Amino acid sequence: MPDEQTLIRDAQLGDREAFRRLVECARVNVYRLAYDLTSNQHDAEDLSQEVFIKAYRALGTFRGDAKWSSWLYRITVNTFYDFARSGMKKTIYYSDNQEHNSEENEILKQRDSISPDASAEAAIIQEHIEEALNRLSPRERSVFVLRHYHDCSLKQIAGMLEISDGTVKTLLFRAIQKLQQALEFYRNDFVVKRI
Amino acid sequence: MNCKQCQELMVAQLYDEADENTRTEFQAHLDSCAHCSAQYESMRTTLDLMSTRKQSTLDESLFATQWKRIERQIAKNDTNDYSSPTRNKILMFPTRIPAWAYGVAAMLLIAVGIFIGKTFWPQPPDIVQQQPATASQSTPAPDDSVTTRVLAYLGTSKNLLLGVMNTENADYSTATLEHQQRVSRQLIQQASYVKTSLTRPDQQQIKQLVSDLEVILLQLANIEVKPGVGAIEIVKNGVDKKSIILKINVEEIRAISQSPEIEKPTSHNL
Repeated sequence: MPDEQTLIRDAQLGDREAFRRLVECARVNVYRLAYDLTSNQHDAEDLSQEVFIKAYRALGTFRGDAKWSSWLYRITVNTFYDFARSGMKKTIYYSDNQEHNSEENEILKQRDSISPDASAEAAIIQEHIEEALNRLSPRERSVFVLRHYHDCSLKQIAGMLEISDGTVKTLLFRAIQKLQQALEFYRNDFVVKRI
Repeated sequence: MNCKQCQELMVAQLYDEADENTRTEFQAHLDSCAHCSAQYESMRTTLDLMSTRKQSTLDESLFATQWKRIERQIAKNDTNDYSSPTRNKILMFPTRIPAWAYGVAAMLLIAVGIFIGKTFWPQPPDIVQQQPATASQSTPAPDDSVTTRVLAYLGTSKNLLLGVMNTENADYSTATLEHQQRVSRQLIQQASYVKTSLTRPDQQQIKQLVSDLEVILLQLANIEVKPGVGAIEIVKNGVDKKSIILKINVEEIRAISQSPEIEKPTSHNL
C-alpha cells in the first residue's frame, strides 16, 4: 500500500481511488473526533461525511506543512462550528439517552464481572459526562476533546485552530472548571482510582 | 510563584506539558498554598472522571455506504480540472454568508464606483478660463458666477485702458506698449467666451459693451511695435468716443447694487 504522502499527491492529481484510501485510513479518527464534539452518532456521521467532502474540495490547498491528520482535524472542528451555528445545536445539547444506554449496556453485558447495579451506575455516569460536555461552548469543547481524548498537545491545538497558546490554555482551563461544576456530585460521592 | 501564576500553569501541569523548572516551582507553590492545592486536586479528579468516558465505536462495514455518499457529493461539484486552485478552494469558515454582508458588499461597490468615477472622469474645468464653450455644450452657470467673471473681465480691461489713457504719448516706451498689447490680446481671446455666457435679455447691454471693448483692444493689439503718435491717439480717441471706461464703471456699480455679496472686481481676482 502506498504511503500517505503518495496517496495525497495522487489524490491531488485527481486519483479518486487514492482519495478513497485516504478516507478509509482516516475515517475512524475523524468519526471519533466528530462524536466527541457532538455526542450523537448520527450527527457524527453527517459531520465526518461533510469533512471528507470538504477535504476533497480543498485538496489543492494542502501543502504538506501540517500533518494530514491535523489538517483533517482542523476541517472537522471548523465544520463542527458551522453545524453548531446552523442549528445542529439542538442535537448537540440533547442527550440521546436511549442510544447511550443501549450502547453502554451492550458493552457492559460482555463483562461477566460487572454486576447489574454497577452497570446501571456506569451508564448514568456516562450520561452525565455527556451532559457535562454539552455545557461547554463549541470552542471550549473542541479544545478539551482534542487535548483530552485525542492527545494533541496544547501547541498542536493552537496551530490547528489558529489561535495562540494562551487562548488554548484559557479555553481549556474554563472547560475543566465547567466540567468540574457539572460533575460536582460525582467528585464527592464516587471515588475514582488514579493510576 | 504567586497564585495567579500558578493558575496560569495549571493546565500545562495537568497534562504534563510544563518544563522541569516550572514543575518544581509549581509543586513548591502547591505545597505552601492550600487553595491552589485544592483547586489542582479538584481539576485532576474531574479529568480522571472524564477519562472514564467510553470511546465511540464505528461500524467498519458501513464504510462502503459512506464512501458512496461521499463520492456522490464529490461528483456533483466536480470539474475536469482537478488541480485548479480555484476549484479546490473551500470555505474553512462558515459557508453561510450572513444577510448583512450583502448590504455591506453593495455599499462597498457603490463607494468604489464613485471613487473610480471621480478619479477617471473629473469635473470639467471652468469654461471661461480654459476652453471656448459653444452654446449647445455649455451649461448655464449660476448668474452670480457669470456676473463675477464678466466684471472681472471688465475690470482688467478698464485697468488696461486707464493705463493707455494716462500714459503721455511722449512717455510711451516699446516695453510698455508690448506689455499692453500682450494683455489686450489675452482679453480679446477671452471676449468671445464672455459674450457666450451672456445669454439673458437683460445682459445684452453688457454684451454690447464687451463688443465695443473688443474693437478697442484689437486696435491696441495691432499697433506696430514702434508706435507713431497717430496710432495711440486713435486708440485713446476710441476709448473717449465710446465712453468705454464710464460704461464699465456703470456696469460695475449696477452689478454690485444688485448682488451686494459679489466682490468688487479688481485685476487681482481674475
